[in-house]
Amino acid sequence: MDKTSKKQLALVIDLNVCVGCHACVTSCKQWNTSGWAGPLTDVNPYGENPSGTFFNRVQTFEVGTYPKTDLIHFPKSCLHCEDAPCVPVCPTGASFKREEDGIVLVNYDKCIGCKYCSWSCPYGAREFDEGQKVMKKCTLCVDRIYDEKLPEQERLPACVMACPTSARVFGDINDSDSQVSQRIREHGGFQLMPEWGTKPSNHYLPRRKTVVTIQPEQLVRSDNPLKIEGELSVPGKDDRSLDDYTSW
Amino acid sequence: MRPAFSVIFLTTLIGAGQGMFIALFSGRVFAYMTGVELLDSNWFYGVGSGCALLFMGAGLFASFFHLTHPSRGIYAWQRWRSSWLSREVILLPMVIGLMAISAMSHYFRWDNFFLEFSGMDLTWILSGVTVLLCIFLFIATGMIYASVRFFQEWASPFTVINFLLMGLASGYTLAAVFAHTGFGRGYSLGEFLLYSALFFTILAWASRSWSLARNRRIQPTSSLQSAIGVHHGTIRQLTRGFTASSFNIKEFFHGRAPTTIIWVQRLFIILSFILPFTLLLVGSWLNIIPVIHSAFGVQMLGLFLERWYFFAQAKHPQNLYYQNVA
Amino acid sequence: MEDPTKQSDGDKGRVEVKNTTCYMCACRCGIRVTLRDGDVRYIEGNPNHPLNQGVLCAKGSSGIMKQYSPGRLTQPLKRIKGAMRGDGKFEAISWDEALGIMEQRLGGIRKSDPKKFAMYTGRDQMQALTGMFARQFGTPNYAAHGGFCSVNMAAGMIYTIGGSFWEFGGPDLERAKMFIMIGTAEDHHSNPMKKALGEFKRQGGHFVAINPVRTGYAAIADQWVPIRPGTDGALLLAIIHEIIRLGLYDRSFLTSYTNAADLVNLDEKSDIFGMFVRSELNKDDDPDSCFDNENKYWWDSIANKAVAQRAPGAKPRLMGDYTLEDGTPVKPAFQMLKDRVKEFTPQWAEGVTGIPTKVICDLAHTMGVTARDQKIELPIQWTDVWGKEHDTITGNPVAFHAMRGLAAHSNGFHSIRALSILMTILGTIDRPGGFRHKAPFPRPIPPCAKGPKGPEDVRPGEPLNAMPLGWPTNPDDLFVDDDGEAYRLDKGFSWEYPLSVHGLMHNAISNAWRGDPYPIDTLLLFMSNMAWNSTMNTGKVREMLRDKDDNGEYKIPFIIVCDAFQSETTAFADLVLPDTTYLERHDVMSMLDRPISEFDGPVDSIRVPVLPPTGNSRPFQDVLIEMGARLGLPAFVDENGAAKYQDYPDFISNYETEPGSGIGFLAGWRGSSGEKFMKGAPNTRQWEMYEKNDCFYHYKLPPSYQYMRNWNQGYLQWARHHGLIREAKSINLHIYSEVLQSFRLAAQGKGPSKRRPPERLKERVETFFDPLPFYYEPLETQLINAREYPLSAITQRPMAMYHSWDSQNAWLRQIHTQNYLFVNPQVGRSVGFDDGDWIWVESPWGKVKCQSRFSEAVEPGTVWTWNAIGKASGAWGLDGKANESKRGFLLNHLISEELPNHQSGATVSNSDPITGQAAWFDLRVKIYKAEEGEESCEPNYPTLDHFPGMKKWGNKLRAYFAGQN
Ligand SMILES: Nc1nc2c(c(=O)[nH]1)N[C@H]1C(S)=C(S)[C@@H](COP(=O)(O)OP(=O)(O)OC[C@H]3O[C@@H](n4cnc5c(=O)[nH]c(N)nc54)[C@H](O)[C@@H]3O)O[C@H]1N2
Ligand SMILES: Nc1nc2c(c(=O)[nH]1)N[C@H]1C(S)=C(S)[C@@H](COP(=O)(O)OP(=O)(O)OC[C@H]3O[C@@H](n4cnc5c(=O)[nH]c(N)nc54)[C@H](O)[C@@H]3O)O[C@H]1N2
Ligand code: SF4
Ligand code: SF4
Ligand code: SF4
Ligand code: SF4
Ligand code: SF4
Ligand SMILES: [Mo]
Repeated sequence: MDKTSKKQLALVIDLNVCVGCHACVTSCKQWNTSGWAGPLTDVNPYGENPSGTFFNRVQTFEVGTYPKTDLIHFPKSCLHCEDAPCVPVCPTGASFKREEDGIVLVNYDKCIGCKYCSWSCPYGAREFDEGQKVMKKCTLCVDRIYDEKLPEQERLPACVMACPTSARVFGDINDSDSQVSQRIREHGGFQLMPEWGTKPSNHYLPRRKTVVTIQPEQLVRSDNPLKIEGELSVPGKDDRSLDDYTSW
Repeated sequence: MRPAFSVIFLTTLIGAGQGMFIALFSGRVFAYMTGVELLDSNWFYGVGSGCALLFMGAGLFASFFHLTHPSRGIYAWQRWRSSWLSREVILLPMVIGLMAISAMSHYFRWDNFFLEFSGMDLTWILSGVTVLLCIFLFIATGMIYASVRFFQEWASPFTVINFLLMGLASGYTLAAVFAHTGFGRGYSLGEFLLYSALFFTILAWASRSWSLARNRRIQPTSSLQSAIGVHHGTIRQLTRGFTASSFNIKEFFHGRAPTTIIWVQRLFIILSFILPFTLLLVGSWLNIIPVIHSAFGVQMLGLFLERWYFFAQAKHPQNLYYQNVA
Repeated sequence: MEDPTKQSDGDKGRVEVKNTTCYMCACRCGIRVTLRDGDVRYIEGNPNHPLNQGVLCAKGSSGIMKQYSPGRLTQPLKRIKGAMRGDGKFEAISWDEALGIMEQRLGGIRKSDPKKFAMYTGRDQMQALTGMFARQFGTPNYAAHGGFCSVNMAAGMIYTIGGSFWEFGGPDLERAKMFIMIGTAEDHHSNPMKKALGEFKRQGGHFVAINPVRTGYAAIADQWVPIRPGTDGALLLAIIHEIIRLGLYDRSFLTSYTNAADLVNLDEKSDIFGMFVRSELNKDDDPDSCFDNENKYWWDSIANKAVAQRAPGAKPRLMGDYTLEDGTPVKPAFQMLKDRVKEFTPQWAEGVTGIPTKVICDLAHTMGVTARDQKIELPIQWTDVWGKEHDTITGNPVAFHAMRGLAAHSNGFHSIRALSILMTILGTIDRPGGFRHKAPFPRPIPPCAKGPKGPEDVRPGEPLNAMPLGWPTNPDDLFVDDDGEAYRLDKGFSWEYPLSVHGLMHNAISNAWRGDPYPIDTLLLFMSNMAWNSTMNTGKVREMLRDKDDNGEYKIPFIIVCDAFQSETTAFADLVLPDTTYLERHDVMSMLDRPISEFDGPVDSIRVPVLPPTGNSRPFQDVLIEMGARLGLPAFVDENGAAKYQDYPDFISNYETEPGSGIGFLAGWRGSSGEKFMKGAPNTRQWEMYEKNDCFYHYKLPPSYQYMRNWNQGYLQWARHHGLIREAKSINLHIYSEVLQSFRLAAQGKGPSKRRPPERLKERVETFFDPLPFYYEPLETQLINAREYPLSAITQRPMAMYHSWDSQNAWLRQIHTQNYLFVNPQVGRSVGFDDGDWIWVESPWGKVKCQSRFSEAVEPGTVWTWNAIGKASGAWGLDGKANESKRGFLLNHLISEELPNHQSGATVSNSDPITGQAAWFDLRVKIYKAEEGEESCEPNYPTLDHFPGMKKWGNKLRAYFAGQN
């Protein structure tokens, strides 16, 4: 295997169908809070100004002005950058990128809580856990995808399993035959903030619009039912034409 | 950014400590070259270094408040190749250790012992190495910030230069103040330190002002367009996706009014540079020692504010994703 | 940390996995719950379930936090003597005592005057049981949430096409080419709709959203058509106008399957003016049939005379006006429609809706041309009810979906009739790519069930003579006294709202408080937050609940609330019954109720307990069944008066609608060994068999029975055979509604029925019971100074919250801790405030203070907010200072439950005049900047204390980890 074809697991998120339902937010929370990466602590869970650790958030952006407003629902979790700036800066090696599949993880046992990695993530994808006092982030559900106890078709991230519109697809973006690569190729997949050279592995697919234009001819047809009702006048035999008035 | 007090104290205090140590060393060189005699040079350098050490220790202490698991700092050597923070974590105890040895070597007069033993005053080498490491530490501390390219306000050589110059300014001021207590007083070493303090304060002022001017001109590299990959002139976040709070909001927003920021900026220029400069100058002209002494306190206050401002003013591209709530 | 790839989550702790059905909302997806050491480890979608096919929504994924919420009620509670209602001061009591109190109270009422017991249920899914309990008890004062929810959608469509959106049918997005979604934010079919939309978009379908606001689903629409609230009727009529004008309707569908060609009597002197001309009944027709008999006339274009409907070889006219031999002037119903929409031009509609004429015309053209030119032909043979065989099934692939944006207006019924008619003239009913029914629909128009008709149907000590709710066909089916006045507490089925087929529970409290039409004794509320978000005029209704008469007695003497959580309403109870959660109980999604059927056939499902009940909570079904037995209600006791059923599961297995009918709550695995379906003897192992099949039963109809079911001989006979329907006869679509005309005739002093509306309501009935749809301004807008209140204020469902009940959920509340009023920036600036400012929102009935948020995705005449985020302080187990109560607000404070005094009376509900559907979205407001001051919402209520038995959450942190709690 050459370098570029090294396995890199990632999500591809289709903004064309994401309805902003937040299923990926809470399915992630429930899987991970009791999973390998958990717990995901909530602060003031029933009080004033609660906050909590979530690995995935769904945001909303308005594009354009009324009435030409587009509304984009925008899910965002760690993008598992190929050139992850959050990793080399971590002083303890708590943050690391797995050689075998490119997943960026945090080893909580080594984290000193300096938050430096979060400063080095331009995407705001890391969240500090107030309970365990360590940095956390999306794990690509690394504790699901290799779990041989799970049936094969369920070895997928929790958010991918839950997403009702199938806006989330999981796979190896360096395998050009994978579904994710295919989607990126065919639907113009793009990366966030390419200007930083982080090479995010997660890709996004843009909105696509289906436009229908009706030609005026399509509106009148020979089988128009108005004819049967006698409502579409068909010119009578004796109706005059130019021939009645002139010649060439 | 939300300025963390632990980091403000850490960076300003160790800056002053390192600066002080460098100042003392340069004073020693100055004294050596000019043949200035000190009443009790061992006491002066010993206690002086101890004083620098105190600041280093206070800084280290402050840093513990910043870390949630400081004991895991022992892993910090692991990324010395890539992480400036790792380098700082390695350097800081080294500097502290060397400073302590240096201080002791003066205080307990190991110079004679060294001289007898090796025919060389090894305290020169010891302090020299410490000074070198202090400079590395300045660089490491500065680079922690300067290397985060996402903070465009920080990602410039200015950050390192400013850290260095402000550390030196406060260090020399502290050294000058120290020299103007009973012992160094009246000697031209005191003048040397004081004028150096003036020099570095001016230099730091110039450099910091330069960086402020630079930062005013910054064009953010990222935009909402690149953040969400939609190319349109008008994009606005309607909601960050939750009305509760989160780490990304607490860590990357200072939550203060823009006017506060402006005032802090004006204040820190005055307190860190203009006022201490004036106090040192006036104090020395009129030979009013308490005025000289007050310069250090004022300057430290100013530098705390400067550091607060340094953090508060830094804008992170992640904020593009956390602008609005609904 | 251990290597995450070298461990298995399943190895940690004692793992159990169980299938059941979600009830974080009414969609009812199949779920698989994994437990670790007895705690819920995670909940996932059941991939085998027909509804959600493995996916799960934000709420469904947060079930854990519902289960372990400190808002849970765990003890039966009795109001402390001397404590004021609403203050939430309770003592814990035993179930024995609670049931004893109920038995004594209800027993007494039943013996004297059963209608003094009123029972209303909110977002439950067990109306078959609660309705049956009410009937057995003998009270007509029963309703479920439909009246304040979307009865307009149910009635408007069922009275037109014999089926409806909501839970009874929907758009066939798998095959549609164009999809128009009107006034829908989330709806009941949450996950299936999202799944289908995702697929539809991926297939390149053309998706249009008509909505004043662009959110969720509308966000991914190819075209957003912002519309002024309450004006969809105008838009739809204009589209019909344009489609008829251009001949883009499906003529053959109209003549074959609708009453478009049927001749209407237009002899103004006739007693049956406006009814269809009818012949004697055919010999095999039953005069008492609830089906619309086919004894009408067509105008045959060949013979040029009236001929019997469906006369062989006849070629009916859809247009023109004709005179019968006896001189009666007649017109085909379609001509009536054409006449009707003549004035409703796109240009006219632009002025009403704010949608440019061109957009309206383009919409009409795209619908018409897509329906006509992109026809689908499925090679499926079927036979129609008249015996004609067809080789194919045709579909015109234009699909619609609409919900409360249409329904929750006082002109909603007619807008929805207009929509149903539009769908009909495009030829899309129960056809591929269009609208498709779900069993047990289609039903005859209207369905056969009828309610009580007069005071004589309510008798002490006896069950009610009929189902408490029914489907009136004409004024004889109303439930009124001799003066023509209401006999139900909510005034349903009276001349005020004759077709209020789901009741009007939104008026029950006000009426009970006023003693109008009569005072009641006991009010039971189940799963409904009637002191907060499901009530209009919330502030005053809360006062009514605690108001006392001159003797110091509460005007509503006794209130029982059954809830699983500390809702705002529980504070007003005299007796609180703590229910179990969906993970702790048995439930059925029954064919007798609202099953979860699919287009391809009936589906019903169950819930089984995954966890033991928390504390002393108890399933309400068990309570009802025990209470039924204690009160000796016939259905619940045997010949000796002893309890017939041990508990709810036992009841479900053994109950039959009539002894030996073979029809019960569950359709699957009937017959003594589970060999039968739909109909068959009770099966003691039925629950077990459901469980084995992932908790659902799905009967797939053969393809030839899956379409055209209104006229599909095979399907109708199958449905008749299995007891789904009374007769296997055609269900032709009602473009022209004789049912409505029969009420109008009565108001005009004519018609077959002898019943007449009271004088004050004559004009109202005459106006609104128009057999053809028309547009009118929402009622409240007509009665207030609309200029002073220039904006429409509406709510919509957030996808991550279910009504009021998810603020107790630690995860979901973080998504919506506070709500804002969304305002178009132009409007905000013109009024003088900025994004994020605190503002007052004022209607003629009150004002609330809230925080604004500018949005470009809202039509400038509209302001909106997420529904039911604002909470009363201290409710739901939340801290008194929780953002929900300090910064969140409830729009309901501004909505009046009654219209201003006018000709029809001073207490007429703020509802649709036909169905009594609550007109939530008719609200008009003005907005202005709030004075500088505290940033907090208004009004505010005193903080509720925790009730006995509730866990107090004292910790600052919650780090949920299954197996460690
Ligand atoms: N302004 C405005 N108001 C509206 C609407 C709107 O659009 N705008 N929509 C209206 C509509 S359509 C509806 S349907 C109503 C809904 O209004 P409600 O029917 O009042 O629905 P909820 O607020 O969900 O309250 C239901 C109650 O059920 C309780 N509950 C939850 N689970 C269980 C359980 O398992 N057992 C029991 N016994 N109780 C349980 C909850 O705690 C809650 O107190 O709101 C209406 N109100
Ligand atoms: N997540 C979640 N799902 C739910 C519920 C919930 O509380 N949470 N509640 C359930 C219940 S009980 C119900 S009844 C359904 C309701 O399902 P929906 O009908 O989808 O619910 P609403 O949010 O009331 O949606 C009303 C929509 O109509 C729009 N609207 C308002 N007025 C007009 C108008 O005049 N014309 C048009 N064209 N649009 C208009 C609003 O902007 C909004 O988008 O949802 C069910 N599903
Ligand atoms: S998204 Fe952020 S946290 Fe994730 S790999 Fe990239 S830089 Fe690191
Ligand atoms: S917070 Fe933890 S993971 Fe992040 S850089 Fe510091 S030690 Fe590494
Ligand atoms: S991949 Fe797993 S951890 Fe990452 S967002 Fe999805 S559910 Fe959360
Ligand atoms: S679950 Fe899917 S549709 Fe829902 S917000 Fe997440 S990505 Fe979008
Ligand atoms: S839509 Fe969501 S909450 Fe509703 S039943 Fe399905 S999974 Fe549960
Ligand atoms: Mo509803």
